[in-house]
Amino acid sequence: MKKSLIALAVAGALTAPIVAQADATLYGSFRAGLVSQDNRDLDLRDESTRIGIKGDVDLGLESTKGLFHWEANINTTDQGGYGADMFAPRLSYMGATGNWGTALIGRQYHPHYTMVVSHTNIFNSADKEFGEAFAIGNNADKNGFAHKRNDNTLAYASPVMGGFQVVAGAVIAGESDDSRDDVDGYNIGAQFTGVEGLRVSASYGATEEDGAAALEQELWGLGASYKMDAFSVAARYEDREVDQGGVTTDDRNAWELAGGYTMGATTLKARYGDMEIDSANVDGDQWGLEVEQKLGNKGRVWVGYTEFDDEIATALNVAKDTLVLGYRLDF
Amino acid sequence: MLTSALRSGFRVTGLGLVLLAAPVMAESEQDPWEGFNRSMFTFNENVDRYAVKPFAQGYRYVTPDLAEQGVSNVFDNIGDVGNLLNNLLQLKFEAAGKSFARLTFNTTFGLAGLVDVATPMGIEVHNEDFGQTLGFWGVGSGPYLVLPFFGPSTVRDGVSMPVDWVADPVGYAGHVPTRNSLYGLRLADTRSRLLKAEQIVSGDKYSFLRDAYLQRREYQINDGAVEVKYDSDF
Repeated sequence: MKKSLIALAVAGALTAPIVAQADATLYGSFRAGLVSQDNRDLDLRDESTRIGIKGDVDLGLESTKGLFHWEANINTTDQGGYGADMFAPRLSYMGATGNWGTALIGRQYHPHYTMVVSHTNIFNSADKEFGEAFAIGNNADKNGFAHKRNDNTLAYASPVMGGFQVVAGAVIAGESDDSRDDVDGYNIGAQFTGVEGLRVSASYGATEEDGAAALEQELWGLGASYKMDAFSVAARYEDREVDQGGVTTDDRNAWELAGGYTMGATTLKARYGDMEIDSANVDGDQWGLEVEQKLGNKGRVWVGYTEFDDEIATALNVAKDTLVLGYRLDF
Repeated sequence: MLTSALRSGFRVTGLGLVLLAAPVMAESEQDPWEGFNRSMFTFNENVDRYAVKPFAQGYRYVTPDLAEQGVSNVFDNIGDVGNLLNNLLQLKFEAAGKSFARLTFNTTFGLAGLVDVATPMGIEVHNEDFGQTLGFWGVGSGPYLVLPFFGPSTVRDGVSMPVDWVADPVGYAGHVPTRNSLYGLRLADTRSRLLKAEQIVSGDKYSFLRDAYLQRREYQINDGAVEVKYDSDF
């Protein structure tokens, strides 16, 4: 840790891209876009810029090493204040990894995101109209509990065996008294990557009303993607039911298809999905297109467009159509 | 791009540029209507000499180079709509994808096409028109044909021109004065790009342009893979 801090100081002074001489890496991705939406003014938006440090630590054990990872938001366009916009934590976890698997403690991705939602989440734009609207498990603001990046998570990921991997995580938020369940929620996922280019996954997550989320939720999803030469195709299905006080307050499902075609540095992407909110009797679809051009190894620009049915756009409080001109630099 | 302008320029003005080696006289069966064609050629030459060329020279004189380039870029960007469709019709999906990417980036980042950002970004142009599409699918060119106002063509390319017009976004401009102004501007742009190219023309201008046109079309339809015949030279 000390080495990392020294190296960070050096990195800050020299603006070096890597935290030199330590087993830690300083990395980041700057992303901004010009966004045009129906009935709204043009807006320059940050497109989920982040900066992070990650590394591993020799524990003196034969096949196990420690690891740590911190990542936070940087807002390139709206710097009204810290907190929500600047240095809001995205990831902060530590753990250990070895031939027995990986164990992590802290704020981290739940397998529902990494194993299910990520399949079709192929667009660059971070606006909710692109990445989040139909990703049920990502959304905490739709009367449910999000399984994306979560605090207080203890997780175990098995090694990949015969192409199979299992991940299980539990949220243990704690309280000042013992009025709630010790385990506030959990998420388990399994994935198969045993065939080249293929990834098939499933996830199930649940919270109890007596937990920190204060609602009973069941969320499950399936995802699959396949890459073949220049083509990639992906599909995802999610279903969620939320109950409070014995009454179903939200019941929805969504499926999405996505595809990409890469021609050298140019990639064309498309996605189409449908969401059904049974509890509100709303049903509607979304489609989107994106053209991405890589500029060298660490830069890219993109133009993305997406459009929703009126009914579902209103229900999700998203713009009916969105056009983004984006620019991204990584280090 | 200059190459697309040249092809259009042949049609508009009857003048052109040879991008290949020294022209080889076309076989007589390629030009069975030479009498008619030469009449049309003379007509086009006069139209060009007294109307189109002075118009283009005036346009070039009064327009700053930067603006000229911007205008050229706008029309090249519009041309990528036709390139996209014809690449799809020829099942050239990568070229179609690149045309779509060019169109997307030049229309947005390139400020409605004024700036060609796609080329420096590494997305190359893939020019195709419907005549090339017909050629790709094996439709023969038919006899050489000089069209009034449009210049060198063939029966196949002449017949295919209305399809290119359908794929031309300028034709869909609802405001008629705007549409006609765009047509006029494109004429000025295309012809002005050919002013320098005229200097290359030598010998019998009719034969030169005919051979140049036919060779260039063969080159385009075969995507640059042209069978070279040396036997008549030795």
